[in-house]
Amino acid sequence: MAHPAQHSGMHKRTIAFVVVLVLIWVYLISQLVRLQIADYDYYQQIVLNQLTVENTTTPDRGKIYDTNMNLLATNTTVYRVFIAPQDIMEFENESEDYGTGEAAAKIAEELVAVLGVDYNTVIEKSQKYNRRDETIKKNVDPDTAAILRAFIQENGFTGLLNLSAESKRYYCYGDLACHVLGFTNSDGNGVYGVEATYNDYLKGTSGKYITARNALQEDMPFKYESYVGAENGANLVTTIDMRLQYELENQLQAAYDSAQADERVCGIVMDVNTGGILAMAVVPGFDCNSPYELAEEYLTELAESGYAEDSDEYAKLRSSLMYQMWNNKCITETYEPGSTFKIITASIALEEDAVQVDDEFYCPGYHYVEGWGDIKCHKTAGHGKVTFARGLQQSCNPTMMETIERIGRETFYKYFEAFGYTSRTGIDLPGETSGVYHAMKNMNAVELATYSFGQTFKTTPLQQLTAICTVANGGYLVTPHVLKEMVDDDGNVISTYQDEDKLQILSEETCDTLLGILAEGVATDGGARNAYVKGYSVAAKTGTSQKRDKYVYYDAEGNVVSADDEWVSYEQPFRIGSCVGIAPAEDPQIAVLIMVDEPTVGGSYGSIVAAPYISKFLSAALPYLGVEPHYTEEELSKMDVAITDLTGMSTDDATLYITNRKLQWQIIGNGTKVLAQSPAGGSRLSTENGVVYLYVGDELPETDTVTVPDVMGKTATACNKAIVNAKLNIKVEGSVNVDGGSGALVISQSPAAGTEVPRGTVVTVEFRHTDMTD
Amino acid sequence: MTAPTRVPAQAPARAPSRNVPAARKKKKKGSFWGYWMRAFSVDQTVLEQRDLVREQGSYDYVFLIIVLVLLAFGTIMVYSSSYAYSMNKYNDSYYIIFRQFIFIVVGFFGMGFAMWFRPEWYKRFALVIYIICFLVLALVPIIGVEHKGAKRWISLGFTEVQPSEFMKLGLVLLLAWYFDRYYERITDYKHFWRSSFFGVFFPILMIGVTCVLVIIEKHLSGTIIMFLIGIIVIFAGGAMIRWLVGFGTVGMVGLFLVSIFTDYTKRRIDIWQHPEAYPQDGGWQTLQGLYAIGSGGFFGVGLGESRQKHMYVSEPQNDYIFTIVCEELGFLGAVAVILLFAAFVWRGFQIAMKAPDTFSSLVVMGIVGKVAVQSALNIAVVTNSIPPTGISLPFFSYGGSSLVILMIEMGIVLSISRFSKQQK
Repeated sequence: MAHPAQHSGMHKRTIAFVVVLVLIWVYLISQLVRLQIADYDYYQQIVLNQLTVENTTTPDRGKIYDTNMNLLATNTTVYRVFIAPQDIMEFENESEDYGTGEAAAKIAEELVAVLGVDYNTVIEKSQKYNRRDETIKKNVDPDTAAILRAFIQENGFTGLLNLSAESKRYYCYGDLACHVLGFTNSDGNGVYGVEATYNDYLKGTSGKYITARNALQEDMPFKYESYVGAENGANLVTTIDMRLQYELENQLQAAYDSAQADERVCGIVMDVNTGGILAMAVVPGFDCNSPYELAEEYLTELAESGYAEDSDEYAKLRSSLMYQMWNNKCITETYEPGSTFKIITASIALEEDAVQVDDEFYCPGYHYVEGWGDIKCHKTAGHGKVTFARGLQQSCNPTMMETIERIGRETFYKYFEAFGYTSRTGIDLPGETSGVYHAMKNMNAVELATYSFGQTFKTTPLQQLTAICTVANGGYLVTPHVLKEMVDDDGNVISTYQDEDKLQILSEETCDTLLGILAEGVATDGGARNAYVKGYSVAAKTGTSQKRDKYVYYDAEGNVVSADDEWVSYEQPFRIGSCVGIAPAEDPQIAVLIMVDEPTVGGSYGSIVAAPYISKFLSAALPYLGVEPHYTEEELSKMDVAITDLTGMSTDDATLYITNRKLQWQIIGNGTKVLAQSPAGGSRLSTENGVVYLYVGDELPETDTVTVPDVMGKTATACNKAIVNAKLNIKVEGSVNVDGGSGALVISQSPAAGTEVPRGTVVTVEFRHTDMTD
Repeated sequence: MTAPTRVPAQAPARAPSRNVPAARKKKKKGSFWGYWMRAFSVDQTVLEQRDLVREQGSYDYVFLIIVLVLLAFGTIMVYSSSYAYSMNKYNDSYYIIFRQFIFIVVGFFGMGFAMWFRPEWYKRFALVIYIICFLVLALVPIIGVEHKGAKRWISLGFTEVQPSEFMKLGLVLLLAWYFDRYYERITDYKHFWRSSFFGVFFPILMIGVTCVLVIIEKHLSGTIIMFLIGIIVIFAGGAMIRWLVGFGTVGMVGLFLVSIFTDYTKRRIDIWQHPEAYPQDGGWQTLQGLYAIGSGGFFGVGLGESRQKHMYVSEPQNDYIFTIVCEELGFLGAVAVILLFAAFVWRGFQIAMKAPDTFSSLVVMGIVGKVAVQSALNIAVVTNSIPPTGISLPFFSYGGSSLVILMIEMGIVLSISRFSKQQK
């Protein structure tokens, strides 16, 4: 009855079934081989692509400091405001409070109110339903962002309206040192100034923040994050001294304003021993925080061009003006240095013993040069018989021409090259250009003669100052530079500017002699006497060169007119007035160069347009640098002293106080107690002739008035006399060597002539040597 | 002469080695397990009288170990693959694995009970079990619970069960019982039509009726599995090959024609062939599954390190769990899984071959065949070797009903393994 557990065919059938299964398994494994081994790279890439969102974390750009670690450039957070139309749509679909378009409208209204954007534009963007990132506005400041953030939270609009923080370069002082600092473009890379030179160091290394996202675009557990930290850029400590920079810019602005220089004014202050640039500026400058906005001067020029605002010419002019504005004239443009080069000529002559300080020269007002004829001195009447030293002080061209002839062509050219006129200085700022000069084989007698007083070749202002620094530092050619050191965020020094071995060109003896001659000239009747600084010995030399290809036209009254004006009376080549100063002359620390390109108002000589500002700059800079003043006895007798508020004091006390300060006094009215005084407490009076008027009776200064006399154009003596006679006090603005040469004249007074002022009021006057000397 | 009543006359005919010493028997009786065993077992004498079996042996430990390894492996993978999904969906990474643990515990109880029962018990109740399954399955369209547009579950209050999973076992039992019962008629191929009717037509009718119930649930993959299980059993049971081959050919051609001429299937075929053309709708899961498999490479990205389980592969703990295995454990892990199933099938079929009677043999064939077919089809689907359809991977895919029923089935196989014919 019993049948076998498995029928006869079951074994075979099972084996058949197993065979089929094995075939299937082998096929499946082959599929796995294809997917997992053959196509592994392909799938791996796909998975990584769809999985990871790679965010680059931008490093903080290195900060820029001045030499005293004052912050000049840093980074600030701004926000980009954007909406996510897709999320807004989904939000509206799900929300019971908002119908279609209602949330978008509410957001748009808020954005209009807070950011001042156009309502329709926002609505338009909010309707791009497939987008999740529509930028509304960039560079939104943190305060505004905070308002929007509150709005987002209040309404639960998280994800619909978004703020994304971004880093933006911020220059703490706007236009201060703009040409040195430069600025960054929208990518955050430096495009001008040290921002460009040291961009690689400043920008740091960007980090990668790879987040894995799941299919719902949500963050995955932390282990899927990979973070390669951003490395912040190195912080630059520049050689720039903020205070000096500020002062230089002020003086350049003043020089620019008074001379109305067509082609801008620039100045450099250099540490003579290291070549470090303490200050460097071009006026007009620009605001580093908004470099694409033209400075006022350029806007005027643009407006006067007459082009329609949407014309191509307008745009072209605008952009060319912008490039002009950004250019660091100190290093990107060349000029004929003029008489400041005589320092170099003289130094070569002294170094080579070609002349002695006391050698006598005769200047008839011209010098005959082979192949040209007579080349005039700027003083056409001639300087007559002068020593070499005086010839240099008076900037006598024939003296220099003769000197250079004594030096000889080869020797001169050797020095010319050694001083760096034939190469770039190598400053760490972008766009430096080199000079324009003759090859030695092309230098004939005429070229040699004109080179002696700095004409027929071109140099950058920086090259010129670098060469002159050689005289100031004992004969070494320095490499000008802006970088002092780089520090990390913790203040550790990463690298320090390494000076190359400096080449000594001149002996210290030569330098000392030369500085002595120059300083003497400034203190007496030299051409650079406008550069005089009270209490300090300043070696300075002015220079005026003519542009041989550009003329300025004047009408009969001396007003500047355009070339095709029917009133053109005479023309003059455009000039460049410059002045270099080295101070203090006995132990030079800084060298300053101010160059005024194409002055159009007033005298166009360097002694007038540039030297006074060297003086003003130095009189502020030297005390700041801690240089002790050494006053002459005459200067001490004319010192200014401050007076305090004496009201309420007894007459005796007050007069004693005034007498102790070597001032004079006069009592007005009857009484024993000072009721009022003129000038007021805090004023500074000269010990030479200062008078304090004390009111003890009924009369008060307000009613006791006198008329300010007109002292404009008067000499110091005449001015003093006029003011003292008018029962006023005088204050001399700046520190001017008023007696040098034919005497300085008053170029400005305040209050103006004819003003009724209380007796004893301080009248501020400014002197300048206005004779056209070079 | 009083011969011991309990010693059958045929006893001497058997090999002496099959006689179990009395001492051992006694020991069994006294044991704790033996008590329970007897409570649920058919009296030994009945078996002996039927002259069916030999003495009860031990479970097939090799098979048990394979099952436990598969189960452990699967559980680990459920944990790994469900981690992100649970976190995302339930805000609790352990949500799914916790439930899976409960199912495993329940499953072990089921497996334990199933192991204790003797194969005869299953034979006796096969028809009843099938009818119960049938009725419950028939009730699904009426009282069922709907998930994702499909009504396949019945709520028990504390949990939900999927009757079609139970029906797979029910069908295996029914067919095994049927083939055991009509064994002679079926295997008597000389009577062509009788054999055809009993071995092919009637069983296919039974399979068809069962499948209809599943089709009503709109459960295509379930229907296919059900059908294939039925075919495996009747194939193993001795159904005439020529019919099966004939029906198979006709079926294939029919399927081919249907797939060509209906838009729905055409689209599915197109998605299958070009999943990259449907990255969002339809092709998403296939594509993401392939990405997961491919990106695993040879050694895999490491256990727990899957990237695709982070909502790229939807519900990675379910039908597509194998893709996560491939991704995390690489080609090596994937092949290991296939080899484990191969070992399972090999051992399972050995048990079937040595089973004491046709019924137990076919039950084991059906159960092991089910696991083999389902695992092969699952891997074929996730590797995009066949058009996508929802087939779970036994021991791996998350799911209460299927796991519990699977473990019960393993218990049945193990129960049968106790009575394997000994090697000569």
